[in-house]
Amino acid sequence: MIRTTDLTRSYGQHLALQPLSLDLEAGQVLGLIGPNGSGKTTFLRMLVGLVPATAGSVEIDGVRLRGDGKNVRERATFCPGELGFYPELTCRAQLRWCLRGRHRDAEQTAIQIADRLGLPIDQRLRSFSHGMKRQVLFSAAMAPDVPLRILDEPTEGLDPTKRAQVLDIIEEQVEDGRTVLLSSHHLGEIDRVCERMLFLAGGELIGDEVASALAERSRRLLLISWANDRDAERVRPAVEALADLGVKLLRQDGPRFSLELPNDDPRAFLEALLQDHDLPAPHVIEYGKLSLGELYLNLYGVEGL
Amino acid sequence: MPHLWRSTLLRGLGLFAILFAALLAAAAYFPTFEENAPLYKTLAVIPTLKEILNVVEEGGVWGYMAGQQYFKGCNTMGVAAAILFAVGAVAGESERGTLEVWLGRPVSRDRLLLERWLGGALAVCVPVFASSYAMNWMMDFSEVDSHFSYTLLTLASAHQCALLLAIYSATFFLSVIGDQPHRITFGMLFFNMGMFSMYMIESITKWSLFRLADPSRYLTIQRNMSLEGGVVYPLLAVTAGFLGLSLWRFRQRVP
Repeated sequence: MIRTTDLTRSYGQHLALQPLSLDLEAGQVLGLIGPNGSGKTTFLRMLVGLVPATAGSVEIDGVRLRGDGKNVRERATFCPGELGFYPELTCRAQLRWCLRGRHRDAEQTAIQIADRLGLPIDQRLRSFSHGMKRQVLFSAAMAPDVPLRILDEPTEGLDPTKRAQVLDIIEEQVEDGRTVLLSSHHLGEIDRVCERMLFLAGGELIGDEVASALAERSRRLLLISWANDRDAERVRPAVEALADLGVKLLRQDGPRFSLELPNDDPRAFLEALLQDHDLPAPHVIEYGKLSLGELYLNLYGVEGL
Repeated sequence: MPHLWRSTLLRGLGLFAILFAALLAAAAYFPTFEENAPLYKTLAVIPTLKEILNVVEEGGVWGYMAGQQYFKGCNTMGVAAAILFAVGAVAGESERGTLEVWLGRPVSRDRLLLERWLGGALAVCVPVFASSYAMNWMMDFSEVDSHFSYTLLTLASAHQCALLLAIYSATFFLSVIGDQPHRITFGMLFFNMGMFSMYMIESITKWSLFRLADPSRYLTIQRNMSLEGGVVYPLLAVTAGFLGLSLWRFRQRVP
C-alpha cells in the first residue's frame, strides 16, 4: 500500500528525513511513533505530496507520486496535525470545504461520522473547542472512499471517551479493508490499534516492528537495578560474561541495566548471575510486558515519548 | 455556493457599493463643481493639483467623472481592495493554519492558485466595470445632460483594471511566498501611499505609478477611442509575470 524508496528530505544542511525505504502492506493500522522533531509529520506530508522529496520516491496503492501529488491524494486522505479552520463556517460547510475534489457521497459519510462523534453539524466553528475541531478534521479524513488514510495525531486534545471512539472508527476502517497510517504520541492507543509500528528518531527509522513480535520482545526484556552505581559497576563484568546464555546488555543508566534475554523466563539468567555470592544482590527486578514507552527507551535508547 | 465564490461575490459587492456610492455623490456634486471650477483652480496651490483641475476642466463632464471614478475612486479604494483581496490568498491560509488541509485535497496546486487569483481578480475588476457602466444612469439622476458611450466606459475601465491587476498580482505573489498577511498589507499600502505622494510632488511626479491612470490618460482614451497600448500592455505583462512567478513558487510551497 505504501512503498518508499530512499525517501529523503533536507532543509538546507538539516536532514529532516534520512533516506527511508519502506514497504507497508494494505489492510492494517500502522503506527508511527517518535518524539517531537523526529520527522513524523515531514514523512506523512511527503507521502501525500505536501512536502516535496529532496530524493527518493513514494508509491501509494501502486501509483507513484508525480508532480504535486494529486494522483496520490486521490487514493489517500490526510488528516493534518495542525488545526486550522474558517471560524465563520459551520461544521457542515467546513466538511464540504475539506472534501473538495472527493466523491459527493463523502460529505454525507463525513456528516455521519461527525454526528456519531456528537459534533453539532450546523453550528459555526468559532464556538468549537480544540478537541471538537480535531474531530471535524478526523471526520473529513475518514469519509472518502479511498484505500489509505494518513492521520497525524488525530486524538491530540481529545478526552479519553472521544479518543476511544476515534480508535473504534479507525479499527472499523481496517475491518472494511482500508489501511490507516497513524502518528501519535499516545503510546497506549498505538499499542491498542496498530499491527505494525515504525519508530522514527532524528529523521531516521530506528525501529520497524510487527506488534506481536514487539510484545514478544517486551516479555524478554529484563530491567534490573542495583543499590548504587558502584555496585552496578562491580556486577557489569559478570553480566557481560553471561552473553553465552544469549543475554544482551542493551543499555545502562547508572545502577539500572536493560537486558534482552533469549526467552521470557529470567530465572536461568538470575540463577547464573547470583551464583557468585561476592557480588551485591539486585535491588529491583522488573520483567514481563513493559509499556511501549519503556520498551522503546530500553530497546532504542530514545527518550521524549 | 462554494466558499471561494461566495467570498468573491461578497468582496465584489462591497467594492461595487463603495465605488458606486462615491461616484453617485460625485455626480450629484457636478453642477456645483462646474459652477465653482475657476475658484477651485485659484485655491489649488499644489502644481499637480492645478494640473488635474486643468485636465478635468478641459475634459468637461467626462474629465470630471473619469477623474472621480478612476483617479480618485479606483486609485484609492480600488488599489486598497486589490491589496486586501490578494493578500490572504495563500499567506492568509498559512496564518489561519488551513494551508495544510487546503493543499491536502485532491486538487492540483495550479488549479487551486488560479481559482484564487481569478476570484480576487474578478472581485477587483467587475465592480470597476459595473460602477462605470452606471455613470449614464447617474448623469440622469443628477440631471446632467451628458452621456458616455459604453465603448468609452469599457476602454476606460479596462485601462484602470490593467493597473489594478498589476498591483493585485504583485500582492498575490507576495502572499504566495509569505506567511504574514498583515505585514504584506502594510508594506503594499505604504508603497502605494508613497506612490500617491510622489504623484503630488511636481519634480518626481513622472515616477509615480499613478501617472499611468491619471485624468489625462482618460482624456487620451476618449480622444482616440482606443486603449493606450504603451501603458496597458506593459501592465498586463507585469500581471502575467507575477502570476507566472506565483504559480512557480506555489508548486514548491511547503505548509
